[in-house]
Amino acid sequence: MSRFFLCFHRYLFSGLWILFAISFVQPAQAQRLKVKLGDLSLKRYPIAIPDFKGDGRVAQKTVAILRKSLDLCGAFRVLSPASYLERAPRDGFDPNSFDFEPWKSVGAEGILKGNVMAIGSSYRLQFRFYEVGTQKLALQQDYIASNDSQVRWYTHLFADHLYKFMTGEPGIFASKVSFIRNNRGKQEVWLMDVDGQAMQRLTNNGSINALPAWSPNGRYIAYTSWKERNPDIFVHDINTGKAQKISSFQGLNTGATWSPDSQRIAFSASRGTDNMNIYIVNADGSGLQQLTQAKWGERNLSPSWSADGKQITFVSTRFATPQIFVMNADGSGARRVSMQGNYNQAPKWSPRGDWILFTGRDERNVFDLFLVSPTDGQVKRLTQNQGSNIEATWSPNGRNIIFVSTRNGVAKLFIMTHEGKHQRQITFQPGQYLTPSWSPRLSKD
Amino acid sequence: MFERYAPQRYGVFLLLGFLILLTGCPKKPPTRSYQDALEALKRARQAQADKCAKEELQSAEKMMAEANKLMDEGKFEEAKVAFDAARKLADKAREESELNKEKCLKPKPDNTVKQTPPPTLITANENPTADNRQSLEPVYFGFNQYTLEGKNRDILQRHAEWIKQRPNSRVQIEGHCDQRGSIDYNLALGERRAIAVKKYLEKLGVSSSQLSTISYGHQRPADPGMTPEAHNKNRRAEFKIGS
Repeated sequence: MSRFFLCFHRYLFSGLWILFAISFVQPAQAQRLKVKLGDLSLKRYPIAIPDFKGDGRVAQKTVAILRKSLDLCGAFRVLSPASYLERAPRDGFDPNSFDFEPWKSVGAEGILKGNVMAIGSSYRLQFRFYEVGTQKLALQQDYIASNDSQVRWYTHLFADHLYKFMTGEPGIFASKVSFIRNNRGKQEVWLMDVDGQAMQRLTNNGSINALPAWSPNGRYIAYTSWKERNPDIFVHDINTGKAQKISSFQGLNTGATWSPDSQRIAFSASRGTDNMNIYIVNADGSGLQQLTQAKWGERNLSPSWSADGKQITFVSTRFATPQIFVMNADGSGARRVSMQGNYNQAPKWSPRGDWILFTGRDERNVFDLFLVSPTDGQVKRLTQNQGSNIEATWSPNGRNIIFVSTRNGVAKLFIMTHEGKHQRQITFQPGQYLTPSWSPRLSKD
Repeated sequence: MFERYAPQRYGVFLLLGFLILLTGCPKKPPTRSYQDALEALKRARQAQADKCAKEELQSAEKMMAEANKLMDEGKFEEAKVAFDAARKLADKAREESELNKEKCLKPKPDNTVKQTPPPTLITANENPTADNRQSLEPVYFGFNQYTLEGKNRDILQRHAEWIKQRPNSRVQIEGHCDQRGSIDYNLALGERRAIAVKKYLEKLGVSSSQLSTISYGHQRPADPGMTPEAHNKNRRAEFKIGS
C-alpha cells in the first residue's frame, strides 16, 4: 500500500488536521461576494500573489500551486508577478507592515501573502489575504504540514477557503480527478490533483481499464476492466486498496456511475445479446434491477444520476441514432431530451441539477461538448473549433468541467468553466488522457 | 401544403422553393426521407420480409408509424430522423429476408434439428486440407454501422466453412471501432458488431459453442492514426483462434 493512500485516508476521514489548523475568517458573513459565479458579465477577480516569505523551496512550491490553481478555476485573474516582483520583497506580511497604494497601480483588488517556516521536519504555512479596496486583512489561515504532500493539500485547502470567501460556493481544489492514462498501450486508472499535479497510478494490471467513476462519498472508484478477459465492472476501495467485481455478465459490462448517496451503481450490460440495457445494483453487487427493456438491437448506455437521485440520464439508440434521454430512477417515464444532432453521447448530469453535459457531433462531423436543459431542451455549445472535445466531468460544485481535448494533437485533459469559458490545459506529461471523473470535495472543512 | 410555405407573390420561385424542400431543408417536411423510407419498406415487402424477417419488418413498420405521427405533429426534424431510421430498418429487413429466403420459404420437415449445412460446404469438406489458414481476415464496417453486406458476407461464408471444418477450434470475435466519439458508446458499438458477426456465423451453421465475442471499443486500434484511412482500418471485427 502506497504512502499516498495512508495520507489520503487521513485527510478524508480522521479530521485530525483540524487540531493543527488555527483558522478564523474575519468579516465573512458581512462580506458582499466579489465574484458571482455564473454571471458572465463579471470579470475575473484580479489578485496578486507575491513570492512567499520563509523557507525557499517549499515557499516557492506553495506560491506556484496557488498561482496555477486560482487561475485554472476561472474565478480569479492571477496577475503576472513580473508586474510587481520588484517591490514585493520589501513588503511585510502582517497587517500595517506594507503600503496598499503600489498594489492599486498594478491593478490588484486582492493580495495573497504567505509565509512558510520550517519547524523541525514540518512546515508552518501561513496565508494572509488582503483586500486593496478596504485595505484590510480579509482572510487568514495557518496550517502545520508534516510532509510535501500535506503542503500541497493544505495549500489547496486554503485555495478552497479563498474561493468560498469570494464566491460563497464550495471550492474545487480539495478534490482529485481519476482518469485513464494510455501510455504505450497500457491503459491504467490514475489519480491527480485538479491542477494536474501529484499524479498517482491506481491500478496496475497491465490490461485495458476504462471509465473510472468516483463515488460521491469519495471512498470508491468503479471502473471497467478487461483484466479477467471480459469487460467487467470493478469497485476499488481507496481505504483498503482492494477491488471487488460487481458485474461480470457475459459480454459487455460498462459505464458504472454512482447514485448521489453512493449506495447504488447504475451500469449497462449486453448479457451477450445484441440489446444493451441499463441496470442498477447495490454498491456491494447485490439487488440487481433492470431499468430499460431494449428490443430489436437497441442499446441503452452511459447512465448518469440527477443530483436529487430521482432521475437518470442515459444514451439510447431507440430512434436509430444515439440520443440523450431522461428517465425516472425506477426506469419509468423515459423521454428524449436531445433534439439536435445525430450522434449524442456520454451525458453527465450537473451537480447543480440544471444542465446535462454531453458529447455531440456537429454538422461538420466534429465532436464538441454541449449542455442540454432536461426541462426545456435548450442547448448551449461549450467548445468549438479546438480539435475534438469529448468525455467531460463536472466539478463537485458544478462550476467547472474537466474534459478531453485533442486540440494540441494527442488527447489531454483540459479545464473550463461551466459556461465553456477560460479553457486551460492541465495535463502535459506523455500519453493519452481519457474519461476523467472528478471526485467529491475530499474535506469536510 | 407546400404553397403555404412560399409567398404567393413570387409565383416564379414556387418551383425553386419546391426543389429546396426536396433537398431536405430541416425546417420543412422531410419529403425526401419519407419517400426513401416508403421505397425501402416496399422493397422489403417485395423481398417477402413479412415471412422471412418478420421481426425486422415489424420494427421498420413501427418506426414508420412513429415517424408519420411526428410528421403530423409538425416535428419535422424528429420525423426526418425517424424516417431515416425506418429506411435503415427496412433495408435491414430486406437483407435479412433475402438471406433467409431459401430456408423460410421451403416447407420445414423438422425444425427442431439444427440446420444442415448447404451442399457447397460438403464439397469443401471433401478436401479439408485445402484451407489451412491460421488466421481469419477481419471484416470492416462503415461509420456507426454494424450490418453485414456483400463482401463481408463472402468473407464470413469462408470463415464459417473454415470453423466448421475444425469442430475443436474456438473463435473469439473482437468488435472494434474507430477512435472518434466517446469510449462508452464505442464499447457498445463494438459489442454490437461482434454479436452481428457471431449471429451471422451461427446462421451459416457454425455451432455457437465455438464462438464468443468481446468488445474493445476503440481502445485497441489497428492503426493509431486519426486519418480517414486509419478510421476505415479500425472499424472492424477481428477473429482470434484458440482451441
